[in-house]
Amino acid sequence: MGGFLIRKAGAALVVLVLSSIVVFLGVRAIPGNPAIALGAENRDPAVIAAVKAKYDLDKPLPVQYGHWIWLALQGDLGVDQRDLGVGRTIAQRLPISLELALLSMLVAVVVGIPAGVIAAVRRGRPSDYAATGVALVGLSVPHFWLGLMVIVWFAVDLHWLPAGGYTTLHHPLANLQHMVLPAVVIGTGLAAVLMRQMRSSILDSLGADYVRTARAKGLSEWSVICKHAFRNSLITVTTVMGLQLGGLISGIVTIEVIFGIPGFGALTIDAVNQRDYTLLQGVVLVVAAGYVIVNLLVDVVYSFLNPRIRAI
Amino acid sequence: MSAEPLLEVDDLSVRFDTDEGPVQAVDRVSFALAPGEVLGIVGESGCGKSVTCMSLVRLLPETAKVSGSVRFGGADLLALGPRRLRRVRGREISYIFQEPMTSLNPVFTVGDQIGEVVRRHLDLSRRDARRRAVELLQLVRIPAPQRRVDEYPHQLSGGMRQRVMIAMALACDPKVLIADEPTTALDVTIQAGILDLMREVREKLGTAIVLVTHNLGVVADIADRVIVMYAGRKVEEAPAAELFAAPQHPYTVGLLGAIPRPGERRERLEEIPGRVPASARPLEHCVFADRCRYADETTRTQVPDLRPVRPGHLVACFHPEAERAA
Repeated sequence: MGGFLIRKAGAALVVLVLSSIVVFLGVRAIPGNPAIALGAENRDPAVIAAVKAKYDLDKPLPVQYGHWIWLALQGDLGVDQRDLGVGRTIAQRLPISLELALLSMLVAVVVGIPAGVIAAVRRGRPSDYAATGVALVGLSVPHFWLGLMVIVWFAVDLHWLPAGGYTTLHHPLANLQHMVLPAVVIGTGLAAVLMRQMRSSILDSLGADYVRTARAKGLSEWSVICKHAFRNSLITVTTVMGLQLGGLISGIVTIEVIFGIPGFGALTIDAVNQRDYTLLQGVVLVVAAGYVIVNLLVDVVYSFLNPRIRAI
Repeated sequence: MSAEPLLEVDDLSVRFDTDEGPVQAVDRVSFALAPGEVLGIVGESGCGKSVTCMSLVRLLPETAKVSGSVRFGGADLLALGPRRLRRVRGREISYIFQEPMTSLNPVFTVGDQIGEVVRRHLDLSRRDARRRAVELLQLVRIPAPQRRVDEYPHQLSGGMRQRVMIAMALACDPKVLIADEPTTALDVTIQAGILDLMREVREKLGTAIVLVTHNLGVVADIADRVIVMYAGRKVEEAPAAELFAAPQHPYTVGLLGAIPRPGERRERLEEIPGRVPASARPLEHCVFADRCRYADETTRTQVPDLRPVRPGHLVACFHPEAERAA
């Protein structure tokens, strides 16, 4: 078990180093001279040289990379065009998106997993068709459209919830009021995916020999489904959840823009629009790290769910 | 076997409604099981022997239409409500299946899976259930049971997994143990060990055993009485020794002829020509007619009833060996 986690963490570290190199080179591969972009309208060679010196752009790439990563390891991601610390900006914006991602995932789990189990158990009956049908709609409806629609319904027409914006967690109720609509919109799509995944893996499990054994033991249908079939189905569903959570980090962008939430997605858009290379570099690095961490978490959860993995 | 039967199966039929139409898997099978008896059910793949066993406590999927009756402990198991049926399953009648790897749940320890049965039926605490699991592992001769109880199925060998299945089946001291091809997935040397264990279980605990197999050697080894099934029907039933000494149905004769005997040099093993008929509905003639060398007009137009050729020896054939010899 310990060995398994150490190996996984080692692999995650390698991936992180490789992705930092890709991020670093990727940003530098974007057409245009970062120094000129940073120097804005100023074409004075002296200014450009100064900017280059300030951002280490006059040094060879390996040195630049070494310098950047060395500082990044100490939590210093440099300063952006407005001379604000990139690390600080990210630290301010990231929690907002994380909160939204977790709330969305919560909606997805609370709705999708029970719906999947019920659909599988009542396969071929009206409740199965209803759940599968709703899931299909949930998958097909684009987020941005649903986002606009719920704003029209719940904010503009009914005045139940604010149309957008954000309040910090210092005011939990107001914060939640702002988060409900976007979380439900993102959660709907995720719930649909989870529901379908859960349905098919429960169906697989229900056909398995060990379920027949469980029934032959005289266990109740509840414990046959909720213990024996469910536990095995979680293994595949965890993979899907991990992939989705990873995707959420970047996929949340549209919804943040629609609901005017100053989160990480909005920050990414700003960084791209303003050609703020230092900021962009930091943002993408954090996204990459997020993917790696989520994958590592999935591996850890996996090893708890599936004893066979621990032995590998 | 004059004692009151423990389990009495009467006119059991099972039909599956599939996309290709109905399939008659079991056709009016009747038999009885005495306390402590080992009853072998033999036949080739698809003859309905496993389906017969699964249907006894209604373990078949919903697509199966089961009719007839299964009398056990004064009730008809086929008519029992689900709640009462679950009190019979695992406690009075328990099962061992063919594939111990897939029949055990891969994500729970063997102790957990054994303990679950006693907790369900005997209402034991978690600690007592664990203690009982260790005892049972000891009973089925798994070395170091204290350690094995916390292991997962994948950490055990095939033979050990089947021993775990047996331990699980014996957990509540059932009256009937139904073993569906319990040795088929195992190496020959391991098979012998499992059969020894089952014999021991019968002797020590007095459990009646229904042993389903396609392996006549296994049956000869352990069964008191044997039922031969063919295409969903019972074609012969006899005490084991008599069946092997004087088989009556041409199908049984064919099966026995297909066993290689050491010391006897033959060019080829005897085989039974033709294939098992795919049965869409109950046939109006002898099921074996198409493959039988003695088939005649009667065989092709009428269904032979089971009738005794000797006391305790039933055969469904118009031309059993005994009569042809005479």
